[in-house]
Amino acid sequence: MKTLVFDSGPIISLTGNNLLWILEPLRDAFHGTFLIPRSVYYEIVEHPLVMKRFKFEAYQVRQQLEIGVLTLIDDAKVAKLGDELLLLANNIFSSRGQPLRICQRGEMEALAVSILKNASAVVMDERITRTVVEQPASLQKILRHRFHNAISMNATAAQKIVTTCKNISIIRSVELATIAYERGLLDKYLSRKSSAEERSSLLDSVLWAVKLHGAAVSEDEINEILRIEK
Amino acid sequence: MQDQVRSNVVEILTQAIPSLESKDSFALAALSDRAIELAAVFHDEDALGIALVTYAFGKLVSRGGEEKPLAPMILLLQTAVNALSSDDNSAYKKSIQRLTRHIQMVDNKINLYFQEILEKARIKKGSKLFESGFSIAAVASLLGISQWELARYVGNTTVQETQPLHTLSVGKRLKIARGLFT
Repeated sequence: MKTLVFDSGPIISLTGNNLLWILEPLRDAFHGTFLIPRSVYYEIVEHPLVMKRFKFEAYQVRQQLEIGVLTLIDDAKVAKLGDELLLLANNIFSSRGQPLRICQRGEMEALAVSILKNASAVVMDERITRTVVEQPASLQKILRHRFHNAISMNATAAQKIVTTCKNISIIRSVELATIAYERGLLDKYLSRKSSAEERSSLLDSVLWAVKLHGAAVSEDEINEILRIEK
Repeated sequence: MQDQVRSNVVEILTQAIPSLESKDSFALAALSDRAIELAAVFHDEDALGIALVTYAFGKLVSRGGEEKPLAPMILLLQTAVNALSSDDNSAYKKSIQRLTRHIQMVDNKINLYFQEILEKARIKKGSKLFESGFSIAAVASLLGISQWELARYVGNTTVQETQPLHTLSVGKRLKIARGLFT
């Protein structure tokens, strides 16, 4: 069965923009399962359910699990591989002899699920983790700029994580939103006689809404998407 | 507390005292930034606590604080410095706890104000850590805040523009996405 794995960020971003509903028709078009790992479930559902803030958001996400749009995967193998990936990721860079712990378990578990289930892709907005998987050397410059210190890179750890994750494809919530737009799912927000300009404006508004809720996408990238979609 | 962290915290607290006395909000903000860098590198909660406290002080003085609330805080800061310099971690932690409680309890209105400041400080510092190259989840975990809370804040930063990390083109990523849905 085909699977698409979700990290916390895209679900948070979609929920925050009243767009969580697009997951069901997208899941149908995907003809597979949308998975979330245990740590993601804890972060976006279990933990906020016992607090006041974001409790309603947690209810909304939980509903998606209850109707089967999202499926929780709670597996010891995921936790084990997640820990191994976390150890690798957090030993790539160091400053003053201390490793920089730049990633967290939830993100690594999403990658672990993807590897173990041979997932079609991971939906992840988190740019640091994406970069660790796709091109870890790019991070060194940013870390150096910020820490004002020599940042050392463990090339072996970097290569190992890239190799381990080589079959993982990553897309973001902006790509999901764009697919929803392409498939006409967002047409209900248009007036009856919408011009091409208004359609483009709608897409622009959705992409910015997703960006402002934490999706790692630049203004240039949004403009590029709009150009592609014209 | 690690030796390297201790020596840095002593330095930060020692500089915070005259900055607070002279109500120099810029200096306090700079000290807070130093403390957050320390916390980020060493994942040290004590350094993080100092970052929050100095940030809160900076906000207080920039908004105009009265003499009365500041004097006891300055005294507690000095006590913390003395304790840390004497390698008395227990006394140091007690001083910081008393300082934090004092900030929260000075006045009902100020108490509410400071609650907001302390909360904003945590979020603000979270976004600074994010800009430092840490993942959202790592920042949320370090500061004990929710990713729900942090997402909205970092979404309003310009880090994607100032520190672009384009590992794959938009076109390629969109092509991957299109291939998933029939």
